[in-house]
Parts: sequence; C-alpha cells; structure tokens
Amino acid sequence: MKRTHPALSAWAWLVYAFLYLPIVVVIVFSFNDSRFGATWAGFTTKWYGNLFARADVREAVAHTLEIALLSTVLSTLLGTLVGLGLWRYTIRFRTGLTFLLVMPIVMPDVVMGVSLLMFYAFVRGLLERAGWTFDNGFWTVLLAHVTFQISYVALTVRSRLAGYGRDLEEAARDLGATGLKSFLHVVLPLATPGVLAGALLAFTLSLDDFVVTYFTSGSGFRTLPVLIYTNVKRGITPDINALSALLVLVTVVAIITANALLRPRRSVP
Amino acid sequence: MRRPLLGALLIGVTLLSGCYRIAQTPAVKGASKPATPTLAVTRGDGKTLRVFIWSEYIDPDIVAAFEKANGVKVLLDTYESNEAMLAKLQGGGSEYDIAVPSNYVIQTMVRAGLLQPLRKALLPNLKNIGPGFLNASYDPGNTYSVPYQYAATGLAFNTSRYTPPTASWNLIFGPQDTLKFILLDDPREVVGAALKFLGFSANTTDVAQLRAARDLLRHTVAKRGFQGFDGGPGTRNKLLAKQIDLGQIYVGDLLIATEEDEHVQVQLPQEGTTISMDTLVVLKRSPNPELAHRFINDILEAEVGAAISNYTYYATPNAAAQPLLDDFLREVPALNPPAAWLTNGKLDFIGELPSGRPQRLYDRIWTELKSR
Amino acid sequence: MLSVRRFLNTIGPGTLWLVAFLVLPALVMLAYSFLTRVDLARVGPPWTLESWQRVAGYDALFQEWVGDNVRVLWRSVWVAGLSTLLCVLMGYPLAFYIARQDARRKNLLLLLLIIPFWTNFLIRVYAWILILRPFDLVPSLAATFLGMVYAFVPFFVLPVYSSVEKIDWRLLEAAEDLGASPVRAFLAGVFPQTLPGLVAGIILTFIPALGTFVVSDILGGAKTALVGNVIQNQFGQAGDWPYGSALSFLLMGVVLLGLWAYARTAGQKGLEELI
Repeated sequence: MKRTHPALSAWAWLVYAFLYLPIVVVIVFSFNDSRFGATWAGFTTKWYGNLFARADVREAVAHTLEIALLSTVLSTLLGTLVGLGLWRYTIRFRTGLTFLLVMPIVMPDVVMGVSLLMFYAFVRGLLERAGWTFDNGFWTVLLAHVTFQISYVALTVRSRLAGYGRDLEEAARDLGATGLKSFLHVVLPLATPGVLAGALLAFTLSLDDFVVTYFTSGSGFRTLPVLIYTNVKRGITPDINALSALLVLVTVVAIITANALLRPRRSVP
Repeated sequence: MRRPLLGALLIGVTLLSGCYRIAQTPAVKGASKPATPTLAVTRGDGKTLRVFIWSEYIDPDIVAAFEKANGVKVLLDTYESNEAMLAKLQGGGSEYDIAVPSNYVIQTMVRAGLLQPLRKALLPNLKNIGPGFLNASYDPGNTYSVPYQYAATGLAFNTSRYTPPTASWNLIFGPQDTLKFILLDDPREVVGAALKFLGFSANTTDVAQLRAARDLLRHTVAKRGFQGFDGGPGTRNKLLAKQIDLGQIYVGDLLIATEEDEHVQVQLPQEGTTISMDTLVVLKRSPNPELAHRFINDILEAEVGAAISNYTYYATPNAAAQPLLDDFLREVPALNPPAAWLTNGKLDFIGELPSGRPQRLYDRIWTELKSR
Repeated sequence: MLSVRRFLNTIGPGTLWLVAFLVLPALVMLAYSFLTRVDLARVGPPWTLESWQRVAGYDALFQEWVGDNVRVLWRSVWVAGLSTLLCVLMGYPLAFYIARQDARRKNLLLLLLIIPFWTNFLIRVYAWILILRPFDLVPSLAATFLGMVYAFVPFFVLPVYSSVEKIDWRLLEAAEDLGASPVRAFLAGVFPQTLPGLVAGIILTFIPALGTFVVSDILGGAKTALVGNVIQNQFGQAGDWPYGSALSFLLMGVVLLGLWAYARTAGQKGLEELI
C-alpha cells in the first residue's frame, strides 16, 4: 500500500517549504549589500569579511567550541556510565532514577538556567565568607552544559543497549573472561554506537544552547548563541546574516557527514 | 579502525584545552576580603582595559587616542539601562575595569560590593569638574565616582512624519490613541515621566502617588499606539526611519541624529522631566585599576571632556571644557533648560530610592508593565 | 544481582552530578522564593509569602489583587497549546508521508527534516524577522505563533515518526475488510498505534513552548509577554529574584506533575522512550 494521496504529498512539500524558507532567506540576505536589509541592494561578500574581523565573534566561536568539546567529554563519560548501569543492573529506585534523568530533558530551559544562576550566587555567598569568589564564566557554563547533557547520553546509551540481554556479558564471563575483559570485549563494542550517538547529541546540544548559557555566563563570557541574541536584540546587523549562513552551512555539512559515517538504522533523536 | 584514534585525538585536544583553561583562571583567593575594602587585586597585564558603558556614549576617536598614547587595548561592552548593567554585573563582574552608572544606582553598587574607592592621587584632573557637581549627595566626597555626562529626558519626534502641537507628556499619557510612541526601556524613566505628568516628584515614595502612576501607565501601555520599550539608540533609529511619531528618549541620544536628519527633534515636556548624572566608577575587582584611573583622568581633561560632549550631545559637568563646546550644544533648548526648572521641581534629578519597600514598589510597577 | 560497589561505580557519579546541579539548585530556587528582594539581584530575610501571593495575583505592596500574573500564565498556556496544535496539524501528516516513501527517499526526507532541527534555534527564529519586517508583521502575536510553530515542528515530528514507522498496516486493512469507512478504519486501526509517539511529541513540544521566552522576546515585542519573558525579566532588569523563583518553581512544578502523570500511565518504559 504505497500509494500516497496527492493531498498528503502536497501538504508535506508545503511543510518542507515552510521549514526552509527562513534558512534560504538568511543565506540570500547574507549577500545583500544593504545595512538594513529591507530591499535587495546588490550582491556583496563584505559581511563575511566583516565577520572575521570582529574580535568578539572570534572570541565567541572559541568559547563555544571549548565548552562544547570539554562538556561532551565529561558528559559522555558520566552519562555512559549511568546508561550502562541502568542497562546492567536491576535496582529498586529505577523509576526514580529514570525520572531524575528525564527531568533535564523535559524541564524548560529557563527554569534550569535560572535555578543554576541562583545556586551559583548562593555558593558564591558562602565562599565569600571564606575569602574566595568566582565569576560566572567558563566553569559555570561548563557545569551547566554537562548537567543537561548527561541525561541525553545516558538514555541514548541505554536505549541502544536495550536490545541486548545482560546474559551476553554473563556468557562471556562463564567462558572464563574476567569482569574487565568481558566489559571491554563484549559490552563496550555493543555500546559504542550508542555512546557515539550520545556524544554527538551532547555536542550539538552544547553548541546550540542559548537559554541556559545566557543565565549562567555573566557578561564577560560569550558563546555564539548568546552573541547572536545580543546582536539581534540591539538591531539587525548584516554581519549576523553572514554568521547565520555560515552556521547553517556547517550544520548541513556536519549532518551529511554524520549520516554517511554512522549510517543510522533508526531515526536520530 | 580509525574511530578509536579519532576518539583519542579528540579527547586529547579537549583535555589540553581544559588544562589551558585551568591555567588561565586567575587565583582569586583573597580578592574580596570584606575587612579591607581597598585591597584590589591587580590581576591584569596592564595592557587591556574593559569598559562597560552605555551604547554610543563615548567618542571612538578618544578611545583610539588613548589606546595609542598608552599602548593598550580598550574593549567596550554596552548596555541600555542601569538595571541591565547591574544585572550583568551580578555574576561577579570581574571582567570589567570601568562602568558608567547613573547617580542613583551608585549606592546600590556600593552595598553590593561592586565598587572600589577612587584613588584621588591618580586623578589630578578632577579639579576640572564644576564645583556644583562635586560632592553630591549620591556620593559624598566623590569616594567612588566621577561625574561624566548628564542630560534630561525629552520627547522626540520627526517633523517629516509628525509635529506635536506642544511638547507635553499629555500626547503620551493623555486620552489620544492614534499616535505611535515608544517608551524608554528604563524603569525610573518611565515611572518618572508618569509621575511628572501627574505633578509629583520622580522620586516619590508615596504609595498613593505611585498607585496613580501605575494606573496611568497600565492604561498607556494598553494603547494601540504603544510600540514597546526601547533603549536610546533604538528609539532614535526608529525615529530616523519614520516608524514612530513620538519617542521618550535621552536628549543626547536624539541630538546625535540631527546630524543625519535635521527633521528629527527633541523637546523637554512642559510638565517637567527627569534628569540624571552618569558617572565613571572603577569596579572593585577590576583587573587593571591603575590603567582604569589613567583612563578616567584622561577623560577629565578639558579637551577630551568637550570632545565627548560634542560627540554624544550630552551636557558635561566639566567646567574647563565649557569654552570648547560646539555652539550648537550651548544653544539647543533641550540641553539648556530654563534655570527656573532646576529650582521649581520641573527638572527632577533622579535620586536613589530608600532600599526596601520603596524600591520594590517601583519594581512592581515595572514588572507589571513588562508583562502586559 | 546487585554488587553495591559496581553499582555505585556506574550510576553513582552521574547521579551525584545531577543531584548537585539539578536538585540542589531547584531547592535553592524554592528557598529563594520565600525570601525578600533586598537589592537588585540580592535576596535576604525576612521570609515571606509575598512572591507566591504575587504569583497568585495578589500584590502585597500595593495591597490589591492584580490580574497581570494570571493573565500572563493564561496567555502562556493558550499560546503554547495553540502552537502545539498547529505543530500537530503540520507534523502528523508529514510523518505519514515520510513513512510511506521508499528507503532512499525516506533517508533523504529525514535528513531534510533534521537539518532545521539541528540548525541553531536562534537563527531560525531571527530569520523570520527578515521575512516579516517588510510586511510590518513583526513584532506581533501572529509572528510569535509563527516562530513557535516553526521552532517546534521538528521536535514534534521526530517522535511521531518513530511511532508511525512501526505501524502495522495490516490492522488498517483488517478494519477496511470488515466494512469500516476509510476514516473509521484509520481511527481504529492506525491512530491508536501512533499514540505513544503522538503523546511524546506533544509533550516535547508543549512544555518547551510553555517555558520559552526567546521566540516571544524576539518576534513578539512588548505585548506578548509569556511566563518565560517575565521570569527572564526578573533575573535581568527587574531584579526581583524571589518573584522569578516562585514563577520558575511553578513552571517546574507543572512540568513535573505532567511528567509524573505521564509516567503513571505510560510506565517506566514510556519515560525512557521519550528520548
């Protein structure tokens, strides 16, 4: 039964057009030789040049990548362990733990961002009595990112492992492999696709995160999304169009590459 | 399989980056021992000055000249209201050396431990400031601040689009509902304007008066013509683009636009308006306090003070700079209100509110307006 | 089969992290909601119910009932609800369309769907300013809706698709063989199978929509304040942390309640399937 009703097709194409219209517009406008961008005033690539000349853009890109890389490593480590544990062991508080894990995913970003902001202020208040203090910057953002990434990694790893019974590892053990060996040679290879998928997901989440970073970063530490936001709020600058177009390009390339490399058999979450 | 190698490489890079980060984070133990307020830890390299300032509030040429003369880099970060600045500094704020708060938030910043006392020995040019502006009640003895620029808030319009019959807050707060207008994104300015229209002081703590102002403002933001809140430059740009009829705006922010389009004008409303003094302060955890003082001293020079005013179109408290100001600045009425206004209460210097309940009353009104 | 040390080795660190940076901050937030705003961004004694009164609509300072908070909450709910509904209308048929294609096309279409999903959220929202400004449609409530639907449609489609992909079409054939009209057959045979994905999609759309402030901030302007905007304002310009905390906690509470209800019905498996 593979016939598709023409109305369904039409609707689908409409939705796709809707999804891509703004992306195309941004790319087109990034070449528009006009400050305010209301009308087409000629083709130019100067906004791209402008972009690289801006120190704050370069700084933001560096910060964003730093945070994304480091947070992904940390969260993949912690999250994989949790995912493995969830898969392997039967524990009494399983539902409670799952609830805890799902919370960061479901919770609105603004609540997480705001609660962390206050938590940091609270801790700062305590530390100040001992003569210590810290700024909201790299570390506060990093800790925040890892917090929401752990859940995604853990649940991704667990769901990839879900198909395999725990008896696989037991079988390996029965055949003489020690715990560590059975882990390395049986569990790890099975888990690797899930770990990689989780890491990729965590990386993207960190790159793209705005709300949580906005509240935990303070003014001296800017990531790319925060930079875009402050520029958009102040008024449209054509530089942002160029930046957006570049980011879209990077995303497209990354996704196509990931798709080719990982060749997912199920839809990526 | 290339995957493990790739993974190891990635992890290696990341850990290196993390170590670099840890090495970079300066040791901050002892940076803010409350017992010795003058202990400002010099952590910076003396080569970069970070200034946190209102948008478009300093002549870039002056900044460049300072950079050249001292062989340093000056980075500007901007904000559109005092509250926005305070909110951003709440996370520590040790990234900045200098900020430019209005007079009425200085004591709030002092209480929050954000400021360090100025070292007068490093500011010989302080003598250039007109004596009437020194030792004001908002900062006795100029312990923390140096006056920078001041201007009143006015009503702006673009005569190519609309010319008001009189300069009056009534056009915004009154019954008419056809004009498109914008209010400043600043709690004290908006509530202050409403209070002046009603004939009260912009610093009142009388609950009944504030309630009246709140009701007036509720009605005002519900008007169809209300286009939202915006900062000075944003409002100015909309006026230049002829998108609105009226804008509440800081006089200086608007006057810059007259260079581009002389149809854009600003006037002080007849009911009276608010005025505030913006000041330069050195933040307590400034990485380069000596450099910061040098910058401030530079600004206090007569030529620099005049150049800044000639650029920003704000009034300068620098007495030595007065002869060097453009004639335009001395003639335009919006910058030179009738002397009587300073005494009869029409021109209200926005003052600090007693902390606690009065401040919260203003906040409540503002939150409500912003959530309509 | 529980070796305590093994267990702690695996689940321990991650759980501890979540407790430290998720649960503790939530508790701090709850505590702050009962304190008083002392200065901008500072809280202190006395302990008071003022913020919660404000959430409920009573202003303890002016001592009267104010409608504004209730109005904001209601607006957030119906804007999020309508946006979710629009996402359903857009995305549900789309999931079916994709599922009906052959493998290669399916992969391509999914790819095309994922690209907007992974493109920077802010850029996608901001792009609408460029489109709508010449028509003077921004800022406005309509623009906010547009932005919301646009931002969340991919969030909705993907979970739905994973359900749709697994549909056993034989049930539809069976229903039609039994004489049901196409619509009835669909409702009886196909729709129930998509329910898990549909519910997950709705949850993953409605909840972020409820708490969003970016879309309404950038596209909506002054007149479309949602609860997310009010919260943002409290931690920015307005500086009233206790009030902001109370609102945030309320939002979080609503979400947790919904999640708990979902967990009760869908079971623990359903919870894990959300990702």
